[in-house]
Amino acid sequence: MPTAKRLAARPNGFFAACVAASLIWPHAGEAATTHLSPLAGLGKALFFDKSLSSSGQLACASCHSPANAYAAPRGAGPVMMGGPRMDQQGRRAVPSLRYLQHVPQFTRHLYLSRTDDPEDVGPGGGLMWDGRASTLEDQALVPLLDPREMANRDMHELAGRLQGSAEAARMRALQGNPAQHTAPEDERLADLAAVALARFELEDPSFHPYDSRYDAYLEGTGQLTAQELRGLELFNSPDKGNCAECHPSTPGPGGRPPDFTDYRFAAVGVPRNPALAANERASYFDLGLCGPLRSDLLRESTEYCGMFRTPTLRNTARRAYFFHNARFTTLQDVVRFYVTRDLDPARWYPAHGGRIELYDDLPSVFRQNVDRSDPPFDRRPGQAQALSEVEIADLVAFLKTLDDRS
Amino acid sequence: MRHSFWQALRRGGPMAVGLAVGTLWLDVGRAATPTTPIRYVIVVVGENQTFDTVFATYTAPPGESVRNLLSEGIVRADGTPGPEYWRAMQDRAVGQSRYTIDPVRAGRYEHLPQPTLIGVLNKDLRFAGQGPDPRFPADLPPGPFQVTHYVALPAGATPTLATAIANLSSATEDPVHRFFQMWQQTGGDNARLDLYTWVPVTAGMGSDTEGVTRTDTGQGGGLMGFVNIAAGDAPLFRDLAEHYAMSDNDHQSIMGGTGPNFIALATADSYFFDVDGSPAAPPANQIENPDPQPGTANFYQRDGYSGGSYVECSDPAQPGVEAILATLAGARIPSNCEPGHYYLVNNYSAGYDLDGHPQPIGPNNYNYPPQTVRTIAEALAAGGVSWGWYTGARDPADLKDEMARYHLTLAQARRLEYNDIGDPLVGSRAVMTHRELRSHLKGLASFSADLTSGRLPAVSFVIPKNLDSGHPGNSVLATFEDFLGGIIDQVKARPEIWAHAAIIVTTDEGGGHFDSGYIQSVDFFGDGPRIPLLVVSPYARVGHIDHVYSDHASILKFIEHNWGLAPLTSRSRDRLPNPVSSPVDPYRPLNGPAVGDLTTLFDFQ
Repeated sequence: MPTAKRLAARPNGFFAACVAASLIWPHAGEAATTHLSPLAGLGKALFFDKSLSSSGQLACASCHSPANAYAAPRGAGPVMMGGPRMDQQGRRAVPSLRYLQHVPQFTRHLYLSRTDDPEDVGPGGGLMWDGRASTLEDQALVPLLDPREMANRDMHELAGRLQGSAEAARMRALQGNPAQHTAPEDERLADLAAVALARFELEDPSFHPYDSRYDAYLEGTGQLTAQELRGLELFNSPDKGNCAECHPSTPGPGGRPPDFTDYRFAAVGVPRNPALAANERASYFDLGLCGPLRSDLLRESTEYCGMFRTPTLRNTARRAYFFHNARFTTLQDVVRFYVTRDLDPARWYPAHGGRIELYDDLPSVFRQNVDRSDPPFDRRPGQAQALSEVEIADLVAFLKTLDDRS
Repeated sequence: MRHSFWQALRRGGPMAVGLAVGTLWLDVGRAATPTTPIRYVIVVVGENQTFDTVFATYTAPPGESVRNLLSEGIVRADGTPGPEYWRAMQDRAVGQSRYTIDPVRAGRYEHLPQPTLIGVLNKDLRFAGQGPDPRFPADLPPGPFQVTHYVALPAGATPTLATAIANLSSATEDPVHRFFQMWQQTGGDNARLDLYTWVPVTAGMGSDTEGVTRTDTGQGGGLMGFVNIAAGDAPLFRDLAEHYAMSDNDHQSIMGGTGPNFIALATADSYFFDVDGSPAAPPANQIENPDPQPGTANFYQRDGYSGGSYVECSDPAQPGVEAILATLAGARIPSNCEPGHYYLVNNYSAGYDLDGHPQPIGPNNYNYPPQTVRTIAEALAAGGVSWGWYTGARDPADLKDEMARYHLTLAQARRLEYNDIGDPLVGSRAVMTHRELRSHLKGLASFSADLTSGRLPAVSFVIPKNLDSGHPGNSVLATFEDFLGGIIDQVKARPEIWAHAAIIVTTDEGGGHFDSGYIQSVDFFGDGPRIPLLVVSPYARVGHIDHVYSDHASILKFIEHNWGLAPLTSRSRDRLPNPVSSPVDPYRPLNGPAVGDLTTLFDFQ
């Protein structure tokens, strides 16, 4: 039984143990490997190894910084640079690697159950912004092989780098007798690296510390300020922020701490980001489920186009850029966008010839996929704003309580 | 010969049983010609009503008898408590260290917990709220109560989306209805009726369901509500009972909910976790553990939609299993649990979607793998009997109104209206990977088209859309009556079909509602409480109320009897004999486990 399954079934005590462990290990990068299984220990070493990239300058940890909740490091730009000569811009903002142990595999039909009869909420699950990786193992190989990231041309080149790395001896030891294997050696090595990276992410408590001030508040061991509590109320209230509709704030199944995502896909119509090099081509669109980084759904249904997976809001205040296209740089603006997107669209979208181009980061045929029914996206010009500026400040104050201490 | 067998059976003659069963088997392998005048069986399945929820105050016509809350003196015809009300009064129980189906009682509830809004949708199809439902008082008596005294049912109407939506103002609490909960509520045989309330309040939908906590499971006393058919509620059901035939001893096959009961309707069996058809262990977080969490009276350790749902019931060491196996052993009932099989006893979604895409299986995906258990679809196909399984929302035409009213795409409208949990053939690998078999899975528009074009198959299953299903919370009984009336009218409008039709009307299960009827333990999985079953047919025994014990397998037995088909497998419940009972208690088979084949509801003379 893979560790993920056991993690998913752990009672609350498990998270207390994680909190305790994270206090012992303030920085994952310095953590003693003795607490990890040999496989996870290997994964950890690989995670920090720049020699696995074609440029020799990128490790997993370069973009998924342990010091910044495994999201982009402080001071980085909207998207990371990579490729053999470190001159290629990544397509999307770096997602955090924290809190991935409960992510369902991608499905066209994610079922949520608040009663005995689950409801189909549409596409959900999977790793990456577009859900195209089913497992942590699948995910781990993606940046290693992406020409804009670590840029190994193929499995063969990756295997060569693994064999030349400082971890080669450990990999051979963990692989056992090569004569017993049937798969080609290149694939076996790459698979082992992927499995080891996944094990590191599952075993190392720094990937799921649950030690935010909000966790302490839920456990009854900490308090929130009056402003933060007002923000929580606005976050939950269906008539106000309605954030909890997609970012649940109450304990999940089994009483586990809230994930702050329901893993659904949504098209929210984030404005186009001119800072992305790919966007210089007017005909280029990042459609999430419809590609360009996955190609299996476009022909099936256009309804998916423009949808991205709802991210967790844990550690969101530690991010410098928000949404898949890194369009926003402050949480205040993110919330303002939610509450005024349809009330004051000129604030967010460009105008061409006096006509505001709503949802301009999608081709016009897919703009009907943008959510216009879930509050606060149900407002129309002339209606009242769901949140005032003061309330936005309260809400952002609450979001900051979701930052892990570690 | 067969008819005299039924007469003999009603007299309880075991000799006749052996004889008639022999005759039945002779039919196997014959051409698919009906053995009765019935050429069309149309099974219409609503959602979540027990027999007593609907027929609590029904009065039997002369020469007939009925067992319900009124006849037992539990309530009066006006819905108020009767002289025997104490028999249905609700008790608390003492917290325990392990799962038991007979906990020590701890005194009576003074009042029913106020019904809650759990599962109740408003007209915008959003949850109406949380906590107590203000339409009900907080001091209901601690037993059955007439729900329509507080929330009236709407009058009958032409079945449209608009009326289904309008009727939601009458929607009420959707109580928990899960496997281990229901075994506790009923004690297996419903000998005592007093734990229906305490179990939901303490266990709820299980700790692995979002929003359910040990201090607030969200459940109230809504499960004790019934409609008053003597006072004009459920007029179509009353009309059908008076003019056709019904059973007051039909049961949901499995303790619990929609999924396993629909599976039983299609297989007379249960699905189990498999890898390529071979039994296997599911992810550990999906194995049931109904032992109470430390410090709680009865809040299960691992149970709920996003977790515990499978059970390996051949192994008494598995959590919760021994309590049920011990009860079965005491009654000398085999469990029918095969070693190494983790049976699915609660709702999970199928391993395929409607379009045939395999669904992911894993610890965070609550789908069951593609199944190899034999279904009635394969048996009908092999026996040369035409069939169709018509589920609302499968045809795009079923969703026209939803798409227009709410500006939805087809896929969005389907998510709203398609009862995926109640579509067991979509979980079958044999059906979903076989182009011809799969083509028999259709929608309601196809049912109408097949009916009017003369292509109605011999056997049809007709499943309403979610909003029409009568399921508490997202539908109401009156809406299902509108739907049902529409189906019956459509059939009657084709006299050549109606002349040879048997429309079998039932529900998938009781929805966790109270019922006072006897329950026969057939195996580890059930039976559960009584549900309505009516036969609407020119050959129905007019006004008859049948007491022969039956469950979902009985519908398959009738189909198999009518077309000379063998039981599906050597372990499916349609292999069980017809009941033999004493005239003193016609409800209780003396030769259990036994389930009837519904022929006693017909008069083929």
